[in-house]
Amino acid sequence: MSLSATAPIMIDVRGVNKWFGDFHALKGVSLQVRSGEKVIVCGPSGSGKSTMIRCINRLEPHDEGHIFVEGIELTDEVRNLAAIRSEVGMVFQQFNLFPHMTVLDNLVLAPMRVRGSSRRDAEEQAMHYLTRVRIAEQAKKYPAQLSGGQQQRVAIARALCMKPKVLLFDEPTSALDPEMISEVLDVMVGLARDGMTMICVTHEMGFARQVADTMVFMDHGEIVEIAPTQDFFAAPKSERAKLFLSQILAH
Amino acid sequence: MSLSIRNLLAVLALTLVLGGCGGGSYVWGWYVLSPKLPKGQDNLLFLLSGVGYTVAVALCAIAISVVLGLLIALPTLSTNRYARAVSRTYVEILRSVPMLVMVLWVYYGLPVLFNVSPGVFTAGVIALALCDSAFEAEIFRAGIQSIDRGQREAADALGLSYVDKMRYIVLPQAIRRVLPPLGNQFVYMLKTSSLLSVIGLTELTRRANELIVTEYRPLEIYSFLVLEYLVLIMIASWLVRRLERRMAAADRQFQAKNNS
Amino acid sequence: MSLTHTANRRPAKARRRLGALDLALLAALAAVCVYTALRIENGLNYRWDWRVVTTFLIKTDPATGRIAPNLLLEGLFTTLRLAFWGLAFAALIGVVMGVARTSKRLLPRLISGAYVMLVRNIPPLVFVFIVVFFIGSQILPVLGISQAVSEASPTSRWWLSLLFGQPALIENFVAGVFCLALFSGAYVAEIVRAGIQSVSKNQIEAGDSLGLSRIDLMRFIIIPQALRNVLPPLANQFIQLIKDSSLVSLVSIQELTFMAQDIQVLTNKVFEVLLFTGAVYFVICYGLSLIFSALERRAASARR
Ligand SMILES: Nc1ncnc2c1ncn2[C@@H]1O[C@H](COP(=O)(O)OP(=O)(O)OP(=O)(O)O)[C@@H](O)[C@H]1O
Ligand SMILES: [Mg+2]
Repeated sequence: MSLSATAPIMIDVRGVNKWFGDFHALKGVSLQVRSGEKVIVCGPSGSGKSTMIRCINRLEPHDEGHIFVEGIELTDEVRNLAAIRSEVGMVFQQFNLFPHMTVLDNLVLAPMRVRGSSRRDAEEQAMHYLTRVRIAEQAKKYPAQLSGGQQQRVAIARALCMKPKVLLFDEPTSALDPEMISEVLDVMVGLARDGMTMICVTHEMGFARQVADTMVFMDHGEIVEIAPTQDFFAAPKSERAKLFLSQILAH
Repeated sequence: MSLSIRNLLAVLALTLVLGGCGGGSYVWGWYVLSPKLPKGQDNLLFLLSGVGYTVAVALCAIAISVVLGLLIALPTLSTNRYARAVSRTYVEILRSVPMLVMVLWVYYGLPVLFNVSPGVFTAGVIALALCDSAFEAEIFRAGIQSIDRGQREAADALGLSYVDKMRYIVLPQAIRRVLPPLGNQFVYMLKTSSLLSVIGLTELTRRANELIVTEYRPLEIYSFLVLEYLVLIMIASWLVRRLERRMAAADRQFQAKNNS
Repeated sequence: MSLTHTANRRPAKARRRLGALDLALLAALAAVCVYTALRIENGLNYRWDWRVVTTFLIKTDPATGRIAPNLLLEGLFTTLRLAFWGLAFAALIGVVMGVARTSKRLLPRLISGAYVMLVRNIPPLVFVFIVVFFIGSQILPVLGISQAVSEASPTSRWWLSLLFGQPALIENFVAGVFCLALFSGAYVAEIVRAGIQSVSKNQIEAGDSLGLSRIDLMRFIIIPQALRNVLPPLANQFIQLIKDSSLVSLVSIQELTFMAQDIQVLTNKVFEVLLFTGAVYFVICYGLSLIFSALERRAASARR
């Protein structure tokens, strides 16, 4: 993947600190993501990966530092928040599809309510993205009637329907049975090809090598290393990253 | 608690046995309620005429208290600690005040406060609804909190507004868990409405007490009153059970494979 | 891309400060309070007079000059006495009936089942009327309590009035206690039954296989485990009992609500008296619920 170093900065995280009670979950985290850049975040369990990307669309408020999305700062200001959330899509580990709505209704709800699209336009667009994640024929089913891999693909399509400029993924494949992982990763590779800006927490190192421009390694609430993908896999600079890679690649 | 026909029969048997034991010195006078005598017919109709108010009061009060309860439950879920404190205070206070005190309060207090005298029906509905709204709020809070946090987060991540999030995502899912306890609360209202006899609402209990004054046959009339309530509550709890089964079925349909 | 590190200290609690919404909320609340007070004071020429409450709380005995509780305080004492005895007997009835509900034999199950069903499905007020009529007019006179009380020695009379209130009203009081106990007993029975049934089958089978008798099984295996599940709902039921005790004011038992109504009729001071009464119930009930939840937390942390 090539990435122009002159592309505008999309997400700018500067010196962010976050506490859960007395627990210091993010310690001075800084990260810039350019438009079209694919960032893969890895690190041991509890290192603050989820917390960091949840801060980026303010599912968790940060306590110190600044986060800018396309130059708009994330604050308690409600208007900024609504604007940012409709620009930043999120895919969860547990899918979080709405169980009482059909797949199609899951997809059209936000475009209709937030963007004010008509139902016809929203459905047309929903079918477009469902085709793209290759489950158009399941549109009338309820989430519970789908397999895990299918549900996660619906969740991706749901995020795409808002036409986000950035997609955040929090371990999108860790809740899936092994045979379903690839169908989701395939969809994500396709998105990467089309130039979507992505920040993805995952332990799928093969996928990381394939799509990532930048690797971010976190441990104990800190970003320990940020490096271009090739450099990271060839020779991680920090001991902790080395250890982590050797453990995860040993499988 | 559900009330089945078998249990009802057991209750009746027990009542008769107890009546038989205690009634060594008591001469039953069922003629006051005999459907064969014109007097008895009049009395029966008189007693039954209270059922309208009993049901109407319970229905109106639950309708109001559901709305109130929901409005009070929503702030308890917000991150705003003042909003939470206000609604907790409301719940704690209203939960601790006996219904009878509330009825007196509304009936005697409101006229002084607002210079309008509510009729007994209005006062009764307000008092019942106020007391019940605290319990209703707790039911809603529990129902909403039982919805997976991920659902709210997904709605937030899509940029839905607070109102849309509640209206399309949270409440439709919560309602299935909330309806059965709400139904039980309605049964409870049917029972508590008897308190309104104190301020003179001519519902079932009031009618019975009025008849006792003229006929002086308390045991017979109260027995009939109990029977009236048992039947009323049996019907109501049958409806609630049906609702519960429906909701459970719907829940199964949506949750079927979600846990896998 | 820089990696900044900051000292490991917590920020000042930024989000504790008042936002615009909080201020609006508080302003609205204050406005409602002020409006209500003004309305009562000016619009309706209602004169607040809290002396009603104080004079009816305590009086000085004209004969001896000693301070004695007046109507409201006496009513409160009666309420507390009712609650105390009601709770004791409700616990007794509830445990017996609750155990009977889980009995293997049909008759105890049927009797306890019918009792619980009956009580829980008729309105509390109707129950009060029936029980007080039945017990008060049919059973109590046969027991001859007033007779016994009037013949008691001064010391035992002193004890009696401490425990049961005025000797002259003792029969009435007993009827009230019966009523509350029988009523709450049904709810306690349900709680006890649920508690017993919450103990897993395996535990019972393990006890059975050791050859324990049914009594020993109850005593050493089931009750200790059930108790833990049963205490929180029992605490709630106790609070409910205190609220329900207001119902017996309707059969002329002179507890707090009765006295409040009396004074209200006497002085026409609706707000003071009823507000005070409501506040007393709130303090008792909320206080108890705080105490119970503190106890629960302690028990929970002791277990860990
Ligand atoms: N809501 C919360 N309240 C308290 N502590 C939390 C909360 N969320 C996360 N934490 C703590 O913050 C730390 C970082 O959590 P986070 O979920 O970001 O880790 P992670 O890197 O995503 O781990 P995993 O790979 O297991 O998902 C953990 O130690 C966790 O216990
Ligand atoms: Mg995580």
